[in-house]
Amino acid sequence: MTKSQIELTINGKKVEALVEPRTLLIHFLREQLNLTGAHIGCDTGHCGACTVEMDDMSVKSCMTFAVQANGANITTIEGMANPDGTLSALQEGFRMMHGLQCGYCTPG
Amino acid sequence: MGCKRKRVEDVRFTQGKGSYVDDLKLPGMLFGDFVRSPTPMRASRASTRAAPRPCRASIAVLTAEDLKPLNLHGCRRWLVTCRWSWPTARCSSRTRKWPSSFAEDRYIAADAIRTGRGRIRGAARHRRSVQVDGSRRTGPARGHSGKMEGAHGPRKHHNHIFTWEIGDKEATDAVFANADVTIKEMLLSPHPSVTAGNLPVRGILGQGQG
Repeated sequence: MTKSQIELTINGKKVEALVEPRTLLIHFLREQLNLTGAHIGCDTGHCGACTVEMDDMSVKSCMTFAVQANGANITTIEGMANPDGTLSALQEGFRMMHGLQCGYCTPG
Repeated sequence: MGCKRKRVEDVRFTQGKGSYVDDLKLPGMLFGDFVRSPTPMRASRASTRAAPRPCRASIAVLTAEDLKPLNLHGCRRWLVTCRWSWPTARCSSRTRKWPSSFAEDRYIAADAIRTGRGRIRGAARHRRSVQVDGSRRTGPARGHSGKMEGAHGPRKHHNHIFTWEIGDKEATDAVFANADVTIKEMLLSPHPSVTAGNLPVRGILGQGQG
């Protein structure tokens, strides 16, 4: 299958890659970029475990093709912490209030 | 005692650094894909017009017959989150072959599997390798391949997932209308005919059944 060239910014870093048009954004992030923070839960857009920010809007990356993210600014859970490495307010809130158990879906 | 304790592991979990089975990558690990009936609660009768064979870069195409020597052909579930079965003569009087495929790439694994009546997806060379009959089951279901005894039948009511059920809708709408800031979540659906929860083959996002 013909591959498409995409360029996008992920967690502040420019990324260029060749992807098949049918490649889902979550597969691109996890398998090509090894950003395994976002997970595949239901594969159908219901559970939200795969949620990432795309141009400041939350999207279910299991329902988004990688080519749709061409030119976009993507933020995954790996890019949420403060620059000094400490947890962001949202992450700290989850920790303080015991907002997670196994944490599989928490990154979404 | 009596005070909140912060869990040490939450620092990793909240940053997406937890390690789960889904994150494992081992040498030689393959992706698998499985034929499933495109129509829920219907007879899952599969027939092969030609013997399934590996297609482009796929490692293997297996049927339940191949797993008989390992006594794995009757496993109803291998994965908790992936409901599928290996209907065989033991499980279903109708089904004999129910292929699965394995490849190094998830999409290639999916390529090797085709479903649907006359609407088989993917490469032309495998267009007629597998056909799943969607005819409605008649009589009581037996075995593991269809409706189990005591299971509910086809849903006759709306599932109410996206409808308003609780509370005062008008009052809530007014609050949102008068709010200074509202946040909306954008759900991107690449194709209008793709329906969430009804993807016929796990791993393929393509033309819906519509």
